[in-house]
Amino acid sequence: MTARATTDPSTDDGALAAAYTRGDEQAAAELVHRHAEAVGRFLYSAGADAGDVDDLVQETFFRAFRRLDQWGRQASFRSWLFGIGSNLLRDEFRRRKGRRMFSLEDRDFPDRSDPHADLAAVETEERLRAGLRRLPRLQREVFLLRVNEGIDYEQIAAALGTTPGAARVHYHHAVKKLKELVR
Amino acid sequence: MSVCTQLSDRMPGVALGRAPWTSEEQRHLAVCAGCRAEWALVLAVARLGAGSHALGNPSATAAGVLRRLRTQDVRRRSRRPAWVAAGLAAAAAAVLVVRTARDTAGGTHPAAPETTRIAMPATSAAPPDFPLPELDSLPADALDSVLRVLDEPLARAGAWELPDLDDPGDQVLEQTVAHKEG
Repeated sequence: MTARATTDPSTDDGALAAAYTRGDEQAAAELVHRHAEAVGRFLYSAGADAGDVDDLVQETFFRAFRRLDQWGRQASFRSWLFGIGSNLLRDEFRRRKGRRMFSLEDRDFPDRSDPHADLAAVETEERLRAGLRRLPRLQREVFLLRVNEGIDYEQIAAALGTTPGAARVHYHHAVKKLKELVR
Repeated sequence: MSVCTQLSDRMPGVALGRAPWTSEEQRHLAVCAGCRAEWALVLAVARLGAGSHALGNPSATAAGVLRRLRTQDVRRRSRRPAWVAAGLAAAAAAVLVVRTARDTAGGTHPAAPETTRIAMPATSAAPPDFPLPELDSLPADALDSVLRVLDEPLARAGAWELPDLDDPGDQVLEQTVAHKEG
């Protein structure tokens, strides 16, 4: 795949999407390069198993390209992808209901080269992961999109099918529940 | 908007390194325990996110997506001519039946336009809509109480539901032909 070498990096997402609908596959590849990492980070943070993330990212883009005409442009392309990924994740959780819904607490913590790593920090991470897992889905996703991706409430609302005011309230509920964990 | 709310809105940007604190904001952080606790949380989660997952190979992902799209496209193209031909045949048969029936009835037929109407099935392709614009104008505490009630239904709501339709045009054609063939 050599899409990056031949696609102008300054081309905006809308132009790339339009180019793909005219048959330009390199435009689609460029969109994947631009957004795949953020989509993967969101899916993983929101509870996807590490081993499933790549497949979920691919499925997110596949669905997006099949339905580009449904991208209303009120959300950025990336926010729209987050919305599709969020639905995929919800379906995945439903499918696994009764077996295992979340795996946040099962994950390995990041490697620490220092053998005397800060145990308090590790414990905080553990509490945070558990706290995120316990949040209602919309609270968790609004919070993660805001904190990990820095997306504003308007974009989050467009991505998750709610309103900016409701997204703001979800965020503050999440903060209220989680901030006790890092005191 | 209170200073705490302003600070809260700025925290993700600062945590992600997109903007610095102003000296005024730093002074507020030094004296406001609530903002400090929120800032510690946002920083911790932003770090957690930054180190959480690096996608193995975006080029491989792009290649996989394009391969699947091509496969789907080939499937669609190979299916379409058969349905198009069947549809045209069905339409022609319908015209013949109408004309034969009129001829049998012995009437003459000036060039009056005939309209054949095919009932289109309602499609559910539009995503469910949950417009709640009135929430935006409510004060924060009122929003809180409304959200407490709405939270569960919203969490279950299927916004951005994308039903698995291949091509609505094909489906309509298929139903029409099936109907004509009995």
